[in-house]
Amino acid sequence: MEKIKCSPYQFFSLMILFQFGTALVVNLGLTAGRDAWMAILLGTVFGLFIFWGFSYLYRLFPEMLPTDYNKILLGKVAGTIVSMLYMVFFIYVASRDLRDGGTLILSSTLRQTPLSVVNALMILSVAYVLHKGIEVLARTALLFMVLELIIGLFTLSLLVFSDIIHWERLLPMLEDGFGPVWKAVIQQDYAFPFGEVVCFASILPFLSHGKLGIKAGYLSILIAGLVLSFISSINIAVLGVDMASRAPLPLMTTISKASITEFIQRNDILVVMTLIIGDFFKVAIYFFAALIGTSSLSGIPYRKLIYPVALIIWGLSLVVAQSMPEHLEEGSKVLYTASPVFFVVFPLLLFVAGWIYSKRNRGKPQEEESAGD
Amino acid sequence: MKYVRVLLTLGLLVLITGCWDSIELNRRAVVSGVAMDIIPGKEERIKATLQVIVADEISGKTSRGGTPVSVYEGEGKTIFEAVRNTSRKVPRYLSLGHISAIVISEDLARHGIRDLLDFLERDAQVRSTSLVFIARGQQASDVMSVLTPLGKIPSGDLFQKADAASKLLGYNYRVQIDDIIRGMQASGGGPVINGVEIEGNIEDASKSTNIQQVDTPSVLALSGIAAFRKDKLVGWLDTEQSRGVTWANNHMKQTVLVTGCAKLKGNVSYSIIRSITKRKGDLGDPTHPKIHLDVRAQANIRELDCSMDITNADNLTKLQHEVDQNIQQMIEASIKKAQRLHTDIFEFGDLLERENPKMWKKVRAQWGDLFPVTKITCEVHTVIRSAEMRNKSYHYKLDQTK
Repeated sequence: MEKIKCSPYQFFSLMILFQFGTALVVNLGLTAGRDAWMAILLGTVFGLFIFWGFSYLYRLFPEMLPTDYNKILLGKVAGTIVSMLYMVFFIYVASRDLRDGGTLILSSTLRQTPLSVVNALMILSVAYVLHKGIEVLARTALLFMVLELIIGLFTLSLLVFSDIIHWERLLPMLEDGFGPVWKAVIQQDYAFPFGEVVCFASILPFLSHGKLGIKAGYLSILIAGLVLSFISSINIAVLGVDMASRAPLPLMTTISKASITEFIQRNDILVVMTLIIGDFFKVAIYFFAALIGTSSLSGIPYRKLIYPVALIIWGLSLVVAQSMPEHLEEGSKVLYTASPVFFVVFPLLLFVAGWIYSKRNRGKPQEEESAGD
Repeated sequence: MKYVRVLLTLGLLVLITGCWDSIELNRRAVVSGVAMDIIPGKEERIKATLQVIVADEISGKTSRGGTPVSVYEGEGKTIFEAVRNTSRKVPRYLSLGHISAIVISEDLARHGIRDLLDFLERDAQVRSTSLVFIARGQQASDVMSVLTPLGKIPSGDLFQKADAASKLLGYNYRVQIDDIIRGMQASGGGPVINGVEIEGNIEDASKSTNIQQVDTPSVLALSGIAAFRKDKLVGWLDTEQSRGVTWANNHMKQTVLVTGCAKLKGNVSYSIIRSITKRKGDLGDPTHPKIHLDVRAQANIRELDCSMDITNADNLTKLQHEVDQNIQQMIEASIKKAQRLHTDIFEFGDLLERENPKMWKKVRAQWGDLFPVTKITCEVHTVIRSAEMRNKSYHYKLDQTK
């Protein structure tokens, strides 16, 4: 395993871009109607909790990949099985995210281009960056985060100055009580995008400054949650809750309504850029988590695995569903059944096992030997 | 082995030959406006008229003496089919991304517009900022074919007219596609859409002779506001009533107002420079909803055609009172008309929902019947800020001498 160092800033950017990913442009939490922003904030709490759990495990086993400490905590067999399941899950989600990005680009801008071409271009770029190493990915993340910050501020000022925000569309709050909010959280918001920080467990070992990096992680989840909730409420304030929930890309519609003196118009392209950047990093992180885990389980250096896994993700992204609605439907089914397992059950299992382990080895110094290769 | 790499790289070159979706600019027909008419018959069909920009004429250098725009018509069962059908006549790929004005004929509007908007809302290229109009008593395709002197592209001219009028006259306000959709979904109400008509000879409007004279014979003019119940046009609101609507919906920016001169003979003209309308609803008693509007306006005196001495503060108060009454009458006139038409075009339903969500749930389904009997009160407070460059008018002296 290489000693790659990821600075806290880079880690922060990685996490933020990952969470923004596709969540920024999609209708997040809108099953809760007008109270979507509340559902998202609740999801943030969950994300913080999961991250806390994994940072706890990281402190127990610094420098060790999750695949390795799984084996210690759950025993060799069970640990390996859990890790393998995670790898498969990560590859599946990576291919879904790839498809998400491709389909959203197709339906908004390039209509005739086949999906396979768009997806291939995306996955090849991801594979190329990963081939250069996670350091490169992290540095690129820093760069793109600044870019997204600029885009974000620009579009926010556009929206404010275009006089299209009507905050009263967010009222009345909690019209149907807390039920819909809770339902939205359970069905979607805890997992997407906050539960997904699970894959950052594979990146934690690469932090250059452990404590600072963890703090950066918490901060990123908090900020991501606030920003996403804010964006969701702006979408509702501009479009009205009905239109916002009917659009697959509400942020696009919101931005296209913003126009200043008829000169600055049609800013949808900014949203498309945000989407592509975010989706790129999502696919890249999932891809990387799968790679690193597989390589530590099988002993093959991860660079050799890049192209085969890329091919698998690409092919999977094409066959996973036949059409956009089917893709979304499968997404909600998967989220409903598989995500509780991977985002709640397994992590909880690991946290509890970690706690038991730390109690058993209390008094002994921190785990010295690195059990990885 | 290295040949494989070379071959792969060469293979990748295929990918950069240009994207699938790219169409050269000179293969595109840029559509600046769409008009929709209904073709009556056993099976109702829609006629779409596309106003396409003729680039050669716009630039002026390669002008052939033709018109800057050209219209093409197509028919179909739905609007999308009709638009696609025009490609039998248009020699290029249609590019809908520059549509600035959408005109619907009154007949089609009375028939119902619910099937027209999904295409416009769904299409990724169509702008959300295009304005919608109803051709009043005329064919929308005629409106789309009028040549305008001040703007080379008539749709752009119409768009800017609506923009200017909304900011200066307060006679209407900008209505975009999603405003209409939200209006249709409002309980017991409907959207309002600006009306437009050709004043003058309709046939000559589309000839280039129309803009070759100082006094343009046929002009596109904004004409009232169309009120809808759900998706069908039910009535028109004119002059006073339409300004009342703008006021009640808090869209009033600037307008002109003429009132009498309190007890003196003559008129006073004001320019309302700012206005805010606060709306409050009261659904305490579900069978007797109450709504209260509170208008705060600021005005400047622009014409003082009477001998009122406005250096006296009491007189100013009297004038303010006149303005208050005037505005109140306009708002009440618009509300009465809407109540008569049985359509809540003011989004009062949403207002009540925000104030009292629990009670609204019980009342929501009957709002269409409740709105006509709702008690709506209105209070106006105007402040006269300035009288430009003079205080008393010369009429003061004129009336003193004989």
